[in-house]
Amino acid sequence: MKPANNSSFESPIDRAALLALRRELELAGSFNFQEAVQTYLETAAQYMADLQQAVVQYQADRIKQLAHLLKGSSSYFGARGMVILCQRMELLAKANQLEDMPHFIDNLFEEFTRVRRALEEESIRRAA
Amino acid sequence: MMTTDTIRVLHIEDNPVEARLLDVLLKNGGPVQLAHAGRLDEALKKTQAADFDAVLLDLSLPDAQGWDVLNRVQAAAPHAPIIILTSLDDEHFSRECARFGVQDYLLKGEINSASLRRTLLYAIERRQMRDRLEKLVYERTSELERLNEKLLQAQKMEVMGRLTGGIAHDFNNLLSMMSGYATFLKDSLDTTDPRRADAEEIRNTVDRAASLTRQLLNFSRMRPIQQESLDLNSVIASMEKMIRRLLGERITLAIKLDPTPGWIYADAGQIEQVMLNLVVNACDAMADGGALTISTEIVHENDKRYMVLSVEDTGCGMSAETQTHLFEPFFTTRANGTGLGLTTIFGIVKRLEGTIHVTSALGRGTTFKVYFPYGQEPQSVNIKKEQSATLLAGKETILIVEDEPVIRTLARRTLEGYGYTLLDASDGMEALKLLQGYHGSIDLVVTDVVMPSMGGLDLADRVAVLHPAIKVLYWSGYSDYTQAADRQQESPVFFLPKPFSPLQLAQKVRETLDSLS
Repeated sequence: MKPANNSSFESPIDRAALLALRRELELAGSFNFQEAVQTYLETAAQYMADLQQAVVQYQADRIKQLAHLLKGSSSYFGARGMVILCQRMELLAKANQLEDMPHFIDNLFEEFTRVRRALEEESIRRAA
Repeated sequence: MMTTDTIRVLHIEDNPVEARLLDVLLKNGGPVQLAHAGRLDEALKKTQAADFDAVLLDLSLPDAQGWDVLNRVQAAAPHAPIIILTSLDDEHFSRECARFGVQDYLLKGEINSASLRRTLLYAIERRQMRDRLEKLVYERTSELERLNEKLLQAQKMEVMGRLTGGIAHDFNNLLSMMSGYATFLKDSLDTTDPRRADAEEIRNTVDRAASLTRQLLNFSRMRPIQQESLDLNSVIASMEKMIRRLLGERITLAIKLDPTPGWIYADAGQIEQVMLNLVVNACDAMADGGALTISTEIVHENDKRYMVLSVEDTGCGMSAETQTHLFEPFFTTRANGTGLGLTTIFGIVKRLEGTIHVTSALGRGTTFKVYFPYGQEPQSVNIKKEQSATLLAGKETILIVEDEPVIRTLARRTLEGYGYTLLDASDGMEALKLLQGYHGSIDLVVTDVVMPSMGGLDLADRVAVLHPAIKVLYWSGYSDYTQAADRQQESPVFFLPKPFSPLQLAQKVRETLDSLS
């Protein structure tokens, strides 16, 4: 049977990209992988909370700025779904089309939950 | 730039997580000196405080976005290549980036330390190459503009020369008439008549005016060139006073002339020009003073005898590079030089079948040696003497061809006074018709060179074919004589420069008639 939503069965993380980042971090030795993941998840959570508030308050510029920030750090961790959603929100905010924003925020939270789970698993697996 | 060199990078990014990650990637790639800015105003301050080899840039910043960021960073660090960090994989975007002078762009999430380092190095290399090319193009353009200016200056000088020459030509005609009629007036007066002195004074004044006109023609280079046997030593000796005046007080002058007369076949005016150009160059090379030595000697080379003129200075000298361009038109080391001085000398010396040798080194002065083919001592017949009226008289028939009626009348009156039979025509066509219809014998055609309808040179060609026994004497205020000489090398060319006095005309007519043909 064909799944209704392909993405829900795929990893939310591009593992090749994540592994590459991990190698770079290990090479440098100044910023360990777990710490990097943790920093990403914390800042991303903060951006998401701010983003939700900006959507409620119809602040297009702020939405655009936060979506851009979230998109940037998500790219480094291979969170492709996050990048695509942020990209979409950034463009809509730029065009001042805010009608669908609540819908995108919901999707973003859903995707972020998957990303967090995947990253934490990856982080634990590697640490072990 | 070598891969091991430290690259100075300014990273402009407001996301602290990204900033930290990119920091790791940059340091993993190789030695970097990294500065970071989270806002545009902070970034602009950093570009003022330090130089960067490259800028990594996120186009979305808290205080500015998009192309505004790009333009302002480019303006603040014009020599640093900019690499855009983006999450958008968009062809349109990358094309736009290139159009706005961005060296490259990198996709966040696809960056690794090796590709980042490589991108930076290539971007720096490309930018340096572009800067070098731009510099080269700028230099070439400036050089072309400079040459163009020189060309315009030279063209302006040429136009001025032509204008001056044209006026001087008309003046010559007027002066010829004045001189002629003053002579007629004087000759018509009794030797005891006090008005004879007045007429003589008019003649003298006209002669002075003619000498001014000659200087104008010299300036415009339209003076008739008259090659004759000259003693180079005498030419130099006659110029000594003027040369000393040119040199001023801080340059000493020594003139060492070969005791044997240095005969060369040349135009005195041109030799003076060669001397003056060389002296002026030497003078410019010795801005802080020095010694100028002008010498002559007879030299034998390859079975040929040369009269060598040396102009030696103790000035700044020339590099080998400068020496290779020395005789090129418009080449000059002076801010306001025309770059034509040595080109002119080269032209003159080459026409005389001579050569120029230059010895020079930076800081060791310069010596120009001009080799003139050694000529012959002038024959005594060529030495002009006041000849008595009886010696100048003749019974031959002469045809005067001249478009200026007053000159025609003047010549007619002068020559009739010496016993000749005169015919006249106002241009070449009329002269040919007259020759065809005339049944008596004509011994000499005296013709102006420049005339409407048919000029003197074409007329002479026809006469040479139709009436080979008739001799031709030209007169002109222009240097057309050389054209005549070029065209008729096989037969002697007789030429009388304007303005001329009745006596000069009579002498030249007699000389032409008495020549062997």
